[in-house]
Amino acid sequence: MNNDFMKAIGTDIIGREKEIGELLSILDQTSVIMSSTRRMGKTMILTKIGEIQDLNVKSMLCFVESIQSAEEFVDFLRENLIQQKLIQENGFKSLFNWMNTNLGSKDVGFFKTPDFSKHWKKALNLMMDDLVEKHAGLIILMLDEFPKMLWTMIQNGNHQQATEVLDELRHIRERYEKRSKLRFIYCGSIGMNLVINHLIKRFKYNGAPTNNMHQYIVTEMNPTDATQLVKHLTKKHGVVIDDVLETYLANACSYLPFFIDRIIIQIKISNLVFPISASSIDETVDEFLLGRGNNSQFNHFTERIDTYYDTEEKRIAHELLRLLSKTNVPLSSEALLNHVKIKIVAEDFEIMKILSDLFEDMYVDKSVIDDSTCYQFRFVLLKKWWKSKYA
Amino acid sequence: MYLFNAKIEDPEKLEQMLVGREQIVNVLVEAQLKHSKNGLPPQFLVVGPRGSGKTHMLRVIYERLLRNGDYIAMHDIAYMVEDETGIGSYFDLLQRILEAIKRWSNDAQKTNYIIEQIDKLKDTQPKEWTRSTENILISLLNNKSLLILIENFDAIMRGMDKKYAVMELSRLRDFIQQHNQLSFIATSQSLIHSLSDNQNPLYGFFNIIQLKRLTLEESFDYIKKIALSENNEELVQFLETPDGKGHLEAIHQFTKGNHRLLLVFFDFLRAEFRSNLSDIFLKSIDELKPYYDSFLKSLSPQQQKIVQYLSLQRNPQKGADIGRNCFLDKSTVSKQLSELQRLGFINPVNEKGRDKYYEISEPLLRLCVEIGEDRNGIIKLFVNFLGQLYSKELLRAKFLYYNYMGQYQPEPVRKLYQEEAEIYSFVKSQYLNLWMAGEAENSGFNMVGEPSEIINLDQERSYQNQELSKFWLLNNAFDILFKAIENKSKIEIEWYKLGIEDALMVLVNYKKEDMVKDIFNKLLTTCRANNELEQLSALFSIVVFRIIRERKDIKPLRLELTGQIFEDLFTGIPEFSCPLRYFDIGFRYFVKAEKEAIYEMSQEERKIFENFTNTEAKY
Repeated sequence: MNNDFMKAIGTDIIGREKEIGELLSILDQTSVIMSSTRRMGKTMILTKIGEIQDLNVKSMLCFVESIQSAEEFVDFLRENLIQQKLIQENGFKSLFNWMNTNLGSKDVGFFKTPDFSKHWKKALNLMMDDLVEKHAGLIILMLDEFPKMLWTMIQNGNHQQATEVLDELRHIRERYEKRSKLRFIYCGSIGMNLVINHLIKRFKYNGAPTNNMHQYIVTEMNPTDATQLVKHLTKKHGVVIDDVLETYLANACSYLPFFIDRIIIQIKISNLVFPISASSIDETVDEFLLGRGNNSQFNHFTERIDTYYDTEEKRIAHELLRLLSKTNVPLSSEALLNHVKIKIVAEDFEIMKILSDLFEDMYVDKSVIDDSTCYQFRFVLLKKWWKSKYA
Repeated sequence: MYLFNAKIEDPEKLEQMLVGREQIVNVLVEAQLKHSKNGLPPQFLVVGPRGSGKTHMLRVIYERLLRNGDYIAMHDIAYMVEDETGIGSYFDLLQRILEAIKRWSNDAQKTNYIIEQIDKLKDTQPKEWTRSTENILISLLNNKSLLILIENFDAIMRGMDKKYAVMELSRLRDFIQQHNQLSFIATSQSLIHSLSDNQNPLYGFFNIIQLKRLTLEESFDYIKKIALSENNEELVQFLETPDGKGHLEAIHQFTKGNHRLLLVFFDFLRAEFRSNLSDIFLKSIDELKPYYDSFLKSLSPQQQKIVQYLSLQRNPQKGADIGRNCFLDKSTVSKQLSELQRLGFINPVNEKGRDKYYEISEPLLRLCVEIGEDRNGIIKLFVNFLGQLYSKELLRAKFLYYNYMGQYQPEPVRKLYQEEAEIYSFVKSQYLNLWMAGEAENSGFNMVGEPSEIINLDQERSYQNQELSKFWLLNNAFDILFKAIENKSKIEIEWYKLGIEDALMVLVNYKKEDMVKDIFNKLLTTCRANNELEQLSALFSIVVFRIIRERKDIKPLRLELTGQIFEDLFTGIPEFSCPLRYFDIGFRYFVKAEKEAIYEMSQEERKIFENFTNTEAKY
């Protein structure tokens, strides 16, 4: 089945076939929570899935970051289902029947009235009924930056609605996942778990609205895809570069599509008179990463620590990363423990927990060398940036 | 007045004058042309200070795309290069986009549709305005894509109510991503601080291109192209002369390769290129004053006070001193300095130091204020000094280039090089041979030192003899120079003076101070009598810089004595104030390790200092 899906996908967005294949296999069974730190290219993956429109699969990508209320969310979904041709306006038969019977009108202007706050759950469910009724195949509704939408609601004092949206969507999923193929992808750069934990801790929320969803983390591209992207973009921008340097450039950008795109444009703009070399690529990367006005490229990594680690954890994390940014070889956990304990009073288990968090949050990678677990920065780019900023 | 307005100039001329920005325009246009409908639309933010050619670039992009039938069949363009004021929300921005499409469209049906829909919108509820305007835009596009060319995006972002800005920008981003039909090429005068905040919805959204200032070569090319576009052959020829290049290098130094400022200088250069450079300079500054005044008016009174203070100080000032002299408390001054820095008015000189020094980032802005206070002050001298200095360096570089590079060229190119070198020299003169000896044996020639330093006695003797004979020859060389000056043979004077540079260096190293002083004195008297003081000053400056460069090979005592001789002879002579100042600062900075001495210079003075002493001063 995946091969059929892949055929339906256009070729304008390069690579990620493996990830999309995995996602489609998972979506065949269940809905997905997709997350990653910024600049991994998750929106590109969603866009690529959004291109799938055939008899077996229909998908819709919605950017919901700016939505502020449940009513607006439902209205937005309705508008987009029509605009993206998943359903026609008159296709909402159950919805309109219900509106006609209970409200005496089929005018969707009602969605924008204050009274709609009492009925949005019903409307959402009926809309989904109509949608599922119309399509027999797999329907994928992708909500990009969905956690941020919920976070905004919470920040606006509307945590109740945030939990209701989560619960309602769970009910809908449960209702349809057994008998049909309606699937959701909740996608976001801040994790759903952070939002739900906040609701649990702060507002005594006791639901588990996503525990039946599959967690999928988007990481950097694989080297083959990244090199393919370099090939595509250099050709597009008329940058002359040989195969060896294509691979070099992909690696110098840590296989991150965002940086590959930016660096190739910078190379083109700098109008290099001489043939492009490994050192000119390095210079461009350094300038883009560390030059005046460019030093915020990885701020989100710092802010993640500053926001979600407590004071002591923050100090340990910074100390570990500072040391790792200065060394050219992976360091064993023993070496890291010793280093931190010279500077900070902390137990081994506390430091190991932070190392584990940094691994989960994709700051560092680990490998076993000579029977020791060793750590190093996951992305060369982040390492360079961290070193210039903090070491 | 030379008129050039990118908004109204004809497209051919705009293309022709696109100096230093061609590649960026190509990239931006190609990104539009090669963008596939299914991919994500390209989003660019071009950042460059006032006058760096942003409007010019947008207009060229607009014209190129407009002429591309295939592109226009699939795209609309909202060309927003008017001063887009009054945009306080995402809704306002959408409205302006519709206005821009209407303004530049030839399609009456489209224009009428916009007018009708906006009229209808007026009768709806405010909470529906934004979504409805989005819908108007999408139905207007009817599957086409829209390119938005918009200037001063930083001002638009600043104009949004802080409380709602994040939400407004989220809506903008959602809308763009949702429909995949909108592409921005926006410009901004400064980096938009909030875009580096990862919470900002537009963080990482734009591909940011920072415009670099024009290089000297590009500035030269730009001015030459303007002169050519006016068929001003005489000026083009002048620009190719050492004097012309010297003038332009000095102008480049002050304008920092800013297109608009170069245009202002061009206006006066065109009219009076044979005049004194400082006259051209002062007239250009007068012309620029209202331009800079208008920007100063956009600042708050506290910010104006700081800019005024820094302008009058010329050299960088510590943050604490700025606060004290402007009567601003610590937190206010710190906030205002960071805001002025963000707006591009000031720069910290030392990025890493604890005590930051600040200065006005554009020398011309500072000079507008400074010259208002003292029209005949040091700046006038400095400008002439610059013009002279660069002319000499160019001549010298040209000779050395052809002379030395010729050796490495294959025949017949070598011959051409040698002939070219001969044009720049008096090959047959005994004097030039001596000069060449100095250049070729640079280290031996200059490392005279005290005899006691030389261990090998034979070598010492021969070295002393060699130096003495050189000095004798040089003495003759000076005589030839004096005669040339008296005979007013311009070409000879030029070339003898170039050779004299080495002669002066020998003098600096020579033990007999009285003789040295005599020769300098005679040189001064001869030049003064023949109105050649400015020329001598430039020559003297090159010697001063060379002394600084080669300070490690000169005994500290001799350096001090040389300084004393210079001071005795040249103090009080206005033409010599710049080189004397450089000597004093160089001596204190490098020899006495007074690191703060560097901050006594203005930005453009420092640049010269760094260039000519081959030193990146460590702040």
